Amino acid sequence: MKAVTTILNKVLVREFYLANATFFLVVVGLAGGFMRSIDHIILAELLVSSPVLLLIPIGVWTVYSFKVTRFNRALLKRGENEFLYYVSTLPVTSQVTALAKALLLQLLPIFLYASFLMATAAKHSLYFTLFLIPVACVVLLCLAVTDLFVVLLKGHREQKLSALARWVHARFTKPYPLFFPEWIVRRSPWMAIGTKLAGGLLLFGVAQVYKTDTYDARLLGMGVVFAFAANVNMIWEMHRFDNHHFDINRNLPIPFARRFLYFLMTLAILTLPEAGLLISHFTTAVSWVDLVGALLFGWSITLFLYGWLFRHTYGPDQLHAIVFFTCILLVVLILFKIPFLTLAFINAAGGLYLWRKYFYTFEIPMNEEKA
Amino acid sequence: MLTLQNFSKHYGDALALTIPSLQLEPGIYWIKGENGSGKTTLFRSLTGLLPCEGQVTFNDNVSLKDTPLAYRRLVNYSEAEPLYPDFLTPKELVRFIGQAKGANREQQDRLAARFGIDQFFDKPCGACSSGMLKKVSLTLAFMGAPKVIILDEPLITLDEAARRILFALIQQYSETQDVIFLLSSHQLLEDAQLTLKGIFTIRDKTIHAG
Repeated sequence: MKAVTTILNKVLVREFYLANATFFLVVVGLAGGFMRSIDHIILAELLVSSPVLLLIPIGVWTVYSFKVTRFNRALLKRGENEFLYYVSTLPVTSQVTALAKALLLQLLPIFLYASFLMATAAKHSLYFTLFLIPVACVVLLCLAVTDLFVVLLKGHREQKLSALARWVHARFTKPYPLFFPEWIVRRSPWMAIGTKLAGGLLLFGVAQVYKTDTYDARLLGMGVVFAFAANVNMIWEMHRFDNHHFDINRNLPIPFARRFLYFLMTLAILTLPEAGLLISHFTTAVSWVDLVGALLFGWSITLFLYGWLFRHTYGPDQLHAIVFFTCILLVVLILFKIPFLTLAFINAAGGLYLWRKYFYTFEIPMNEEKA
Repeated sequence: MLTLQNFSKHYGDALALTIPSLQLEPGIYWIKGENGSGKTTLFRSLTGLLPCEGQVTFNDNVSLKDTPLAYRRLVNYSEAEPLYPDFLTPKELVRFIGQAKGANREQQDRLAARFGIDQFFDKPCGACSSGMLKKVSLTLAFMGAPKVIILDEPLITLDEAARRILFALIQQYSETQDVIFLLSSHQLLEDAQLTLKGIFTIRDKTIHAG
């Protein structure tokens, strides 16, 4: 029993927190950096003041529970974790106990904040709320345990294709530039959606500013810097797909120009929302030259990051620091009225230089697993 | 002829494999070695999947480092346990890799039919068994006009009929197209009725004849 608990802790719990370290850092940063302790208390008092408002944290906890269950399901699909299906051969009570222990740890952030809300409710003698919070926690825990229990019980199921999927596969052969977009949508859909939403909202916000005030193209340039740099995680995944998950690619005699063309086509697909927003919302605000320059400038930022990854085997977190300083530098250059096309040329030249120079000597760190 | 001169491969500061000098003429070579001895490291280095030190040249004029594209046209590889993105179909892999390796549609389809992967051409890799994926990987290793074909554990997960087809293809390519085959296998290749040109064993981080 102890062995099962240890294994689940190592395979599920530890991996979950490692994989989401950035997420927790952001949450802690937002909670600790932007809110004072008095703000936390006021917010908690507001949330526990009525059952309807209590639905807000319960909704957030539900989303978090989904995140945990999705992570566990994805982890169990990996070949190296197939041995975990042996857990289903244990007596049911032992299984449930072991799974509950693991999930208690994965859902710990929920329970910690729930305890804080309960303490706040108790302080104000809100007994119904005091009753609702632990009930919500227990329900979420039970649902997560049940989900994992059922997944382990059913094991791998043969992937069945729908008639539509069979029809599409029979008539359409996917070209290489579509490989990665499908990979990222299947592997990390929320990351892809979040990135597009963040970049899109930023550009949309900038477009709204142009409607009411008069600015030159530099404001658009700053928006483009952050909107395209927000794709950093996607670029990291793209680099790993091209050179690790689909590493036979590196054995193929594809000329550099064609690799670059594939990259541009994939990038154009990935950044369609940003490009669409630029074309649809900025034609009256800035000149066409600036608009085209801004789009090329945005693409060049991602190209530079892609090239940088051949020189340095950074993880996504380490790359964030590079992105941060690159953004600051680019914003300063924009403020000094350096034309977009010049910046685009510098970024693209740097990215292409790093890519070409280090492509054949690049090696994935040994601790990175192939998916 | 494939020539290795002062070849070495490090992982970080740790030496994984060193081969001062090795020359391989066309023919079938069996590369033996215990688990973790460095067979896959050697294969992945020769294929260009891992960077390495030293000179690896084919016929003195095509080099892994100096002419990487020409070298990759000549050297094909099949992994021991191939993994492909779940959503890709064998057809998509054959078309993309076949085209890159210079195989026309006729050769792609002929090889796919030979290994029987045309039977599940439109089925995503995620729905294929490990044996099916192995056949896909072996099919890809014969694409184009390779002069060196490296097959890492080609027999694992392969059924009897597919093994016979594989042995026949290896013998055919070796005899008619002067291809150098490097095979690693823990199974006995003497029983495969292949005409072996040589046997090498990797141990103590280097390669030994016999």
